[in-house]
Amino acid sequence: MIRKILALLIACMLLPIWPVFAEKPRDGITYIFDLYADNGNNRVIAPAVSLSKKLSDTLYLGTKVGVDAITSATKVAQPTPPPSANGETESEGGNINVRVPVSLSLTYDKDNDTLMGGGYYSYERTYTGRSLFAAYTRRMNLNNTALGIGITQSFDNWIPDRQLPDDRRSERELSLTATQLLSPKQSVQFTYSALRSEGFLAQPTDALVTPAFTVYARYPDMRIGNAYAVRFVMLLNEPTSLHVQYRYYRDDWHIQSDTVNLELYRDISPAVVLGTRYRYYRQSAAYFAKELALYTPGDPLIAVNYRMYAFQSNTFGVMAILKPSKNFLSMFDADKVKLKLSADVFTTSRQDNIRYQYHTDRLTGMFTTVALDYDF
Amino acid sequence: MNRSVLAFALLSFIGLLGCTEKLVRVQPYEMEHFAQDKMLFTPLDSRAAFEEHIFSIREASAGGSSGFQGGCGCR
Repeated sequence: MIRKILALLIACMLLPIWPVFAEKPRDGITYIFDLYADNGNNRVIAPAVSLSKKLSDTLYLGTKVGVDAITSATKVAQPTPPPSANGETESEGGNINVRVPVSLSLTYDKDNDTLMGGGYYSYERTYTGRSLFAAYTRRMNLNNTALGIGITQSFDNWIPDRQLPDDRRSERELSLTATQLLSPKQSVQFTYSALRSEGFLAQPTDALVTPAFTVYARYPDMRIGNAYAVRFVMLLNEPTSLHVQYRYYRDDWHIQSDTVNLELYRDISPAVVLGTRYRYYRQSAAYFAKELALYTPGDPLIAVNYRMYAFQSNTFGVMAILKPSKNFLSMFDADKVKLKLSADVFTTSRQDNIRYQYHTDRLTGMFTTVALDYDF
Repeated sequence: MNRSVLAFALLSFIGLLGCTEKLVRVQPYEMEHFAQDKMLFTPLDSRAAFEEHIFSIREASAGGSSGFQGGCGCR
């Protein structure tokens, strides 16, 4: 048995992040291929394999291994060139970085209780990520109610090309989740997250370049945030379901945001589920964000990245879940195979800092996912 | 934060006491719909993980998803 598990691990190299506290652990493998691209010349290609293997009646081993090939997500330590009127300034793309994330977890699931713990490690040329996570879920009231608590603590390090005041960055997230069935066709989930970040929290490469001076971005060395989310799923009629989600976020940098997500799924046939989504996001600016022209070298805090400023974004997407017929997959047990596809397009509002960073009025990007699930 | 945690802990405690018969709103034989993909909170779990990562890079907010996120130098 142990040999089989080791062979499977070596062959598949895997992971298991368990996204929703109310759901039982899987016994299966997933092959993933994700893509991201935007008009800021950022590209990500991210294949991964995820495994959740049942070891005994109560124990599950989970692992996930991927390779993220990234251009410009981690930039070289050079001040961002100032935007030019003719657009000839070189875009930030072109620096290829490879990140290898690996996670491992163990899940204990018995009757109404599920306990999970694990760790995560990733390495890239300019950053090392390490984290530990744990979660506990209790189901009750004949599985009508599930309460969950999860915590993750990271111990990350920058590997910068320049001297930083602090190479560390640690983040902690505590999440509390309550899930409740409302009727045979409706369910709701509430989530509260407390977030705390410490260390060097700016991008080491973000810089403000003016004819008179060049300064790197400087943020406070601590950030505390809270997120409150509610998610509602309703069966509109037999083939159609509606998902509604709202999240409110605020932190001590005075950033507040609202996120609304709507998704509609419909069974087209016993083998095909199609979906569509719309997501709206808006945020306010950090208290130290101001017009770039107003900064001086003596300012203790300097924001350059557009994420510290107010903006909005809209996302549209389509999704599909395909369950191949037995005729199509005669070699496999078709009941155990699912192919999940999605494609989303987002665009931000016009913003000066996006123009400064990416030399375009607004950031527009697309991300796609392909996942092949196979249950053992 | 403290108030939110206390409220949640209180509700959880009430639930754990098992005095919540009114929360049994769906009998086991009525749960067939919740086994369908389209009724899961995350019908496409791999997309949920990837887009959470994308949005955490492109936006200044995080949390509220009950998922776990490893560290990366993208933000």
